[in-house]
Amino acid sequence: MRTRFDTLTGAIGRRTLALVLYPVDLTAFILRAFGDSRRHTRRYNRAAVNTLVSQIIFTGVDALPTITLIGVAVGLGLVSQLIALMHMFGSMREMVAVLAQVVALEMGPLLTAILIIGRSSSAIAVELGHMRLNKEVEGLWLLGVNTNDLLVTPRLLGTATAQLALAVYFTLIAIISGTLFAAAFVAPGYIHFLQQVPLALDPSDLAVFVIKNLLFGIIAGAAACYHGLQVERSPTEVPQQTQRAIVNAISLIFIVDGLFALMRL
Amino acid sequence: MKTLLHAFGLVPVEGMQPLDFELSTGVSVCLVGHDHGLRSAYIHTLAGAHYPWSGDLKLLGHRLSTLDDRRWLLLRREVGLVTREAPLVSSLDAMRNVMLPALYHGVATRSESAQRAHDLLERLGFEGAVDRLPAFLGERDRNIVALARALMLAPRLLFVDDPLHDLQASQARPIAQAVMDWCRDAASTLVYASDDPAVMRRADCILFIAPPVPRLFASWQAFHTAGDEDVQAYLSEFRTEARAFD
Repeated sequence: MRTRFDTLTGAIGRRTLALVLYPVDLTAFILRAFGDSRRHTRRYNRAAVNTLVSQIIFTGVDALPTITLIGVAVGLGLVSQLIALMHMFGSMREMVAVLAQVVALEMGPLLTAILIIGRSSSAIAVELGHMRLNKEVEGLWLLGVNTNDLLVTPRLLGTATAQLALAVYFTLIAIISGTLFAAAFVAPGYIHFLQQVPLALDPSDLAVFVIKNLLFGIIAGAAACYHGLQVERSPTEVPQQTQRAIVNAISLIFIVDGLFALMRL
Repeated sequence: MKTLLHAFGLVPVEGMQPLDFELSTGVSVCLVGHDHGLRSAYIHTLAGAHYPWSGDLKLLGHRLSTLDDRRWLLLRREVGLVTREAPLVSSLDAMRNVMLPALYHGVATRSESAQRAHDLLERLGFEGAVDRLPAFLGERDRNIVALARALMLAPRLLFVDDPLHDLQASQARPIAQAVMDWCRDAASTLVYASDDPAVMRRADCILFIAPPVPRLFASWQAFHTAGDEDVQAYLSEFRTEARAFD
């Protein structure tokens, strides 16, 4: 006979398994999407290129005003504070290292990814969810269109490209605005940071920056596509899957960021 | 004449008798019957979009039961199916919806695709603006876009599951005629589900779908004069509806 305890342990077990299996499912989803597209690369697929370009414009170019605003805000609120703090407790060299490591390698990718997830991943999940509801995806299959090839892979590549470009842009804006603010209100000598911070990054830092951002972008796009395509029958599934896409993508990005930090210790 | 479709003891839905059926190049068949759901199940199964309850199907020489996902998708380039819902991509305008299959499969350049899409829309009588999203088009124009999109790849076999059923006969008939004309000119085989006598009369043969035995009639004349009780019941109901329309 089933007891309440069994139900509880069963529920905990199912949740735990789902949590562990989610990254595996998502990885399989990404590999399958890229695999399907690789088969199609012999022919120039203009429809998929159009989707890729649209995604880069929506996720990257259209987000520039917001990223600029957040970058300036972070520059004024955080970078200038860091400079002021280090001015009291640390050396000039430590100050440059902190700016390079914290702002360029940690905050830039993380804040950009959060913005992309909030702005683009949600939009992708809603769009694909509605496409599933309206049977648009089935309509494409009937035309011999591989939906991974047309809908998923271009979005993954688009979010990854946009994440990398926006993270570079965000980092530049944050460091430049913070340094200028500190130079204006603390000490004019801080203007030299603008030359020293880039020099504080070695090639391995840059490689990690690029890989991390591409990975963040792929996670943001993949979680959105995966959950959007999970919608089956009811319109109520669209907001449910959208919030799952957002929460899961943010969680995964923090986990991946932690793993990168562990590897570099 | 080459056989494009061969059904072996095909049973799309439980309870129906097996159907053995062959279709050659350039033939047009009209699917008729009371039960639109059942008719839809037959057309989806014959088009290879649904697996049958039992029996098998050979489409363009490929056995459906042995096709993997990739080959099934490749087959769709030559076997078109326009469903009743006729779903278009909501984020693409009418012109891009029609161009999409040609651009995706790389069968034409952008300008060639645009020209072909324009010609098809004109031939089917599209009256709306080609730069409008499907949500802003009338039902008639949405259906035309769906039909034109299916014709873009010039399929050798085209299945049409009565997408015009909600339109008035005066609106639907010219579109159906244009699709039939296109198939005749392109020597494509057409299977059209419809209750419109104009479509039935023009078709080479009529497949009457009624439980438990689907029956094939060699012409409208043979169908019209058949002594089967259910055929006459269908025709009498249909005549009443037709009079109501008139």
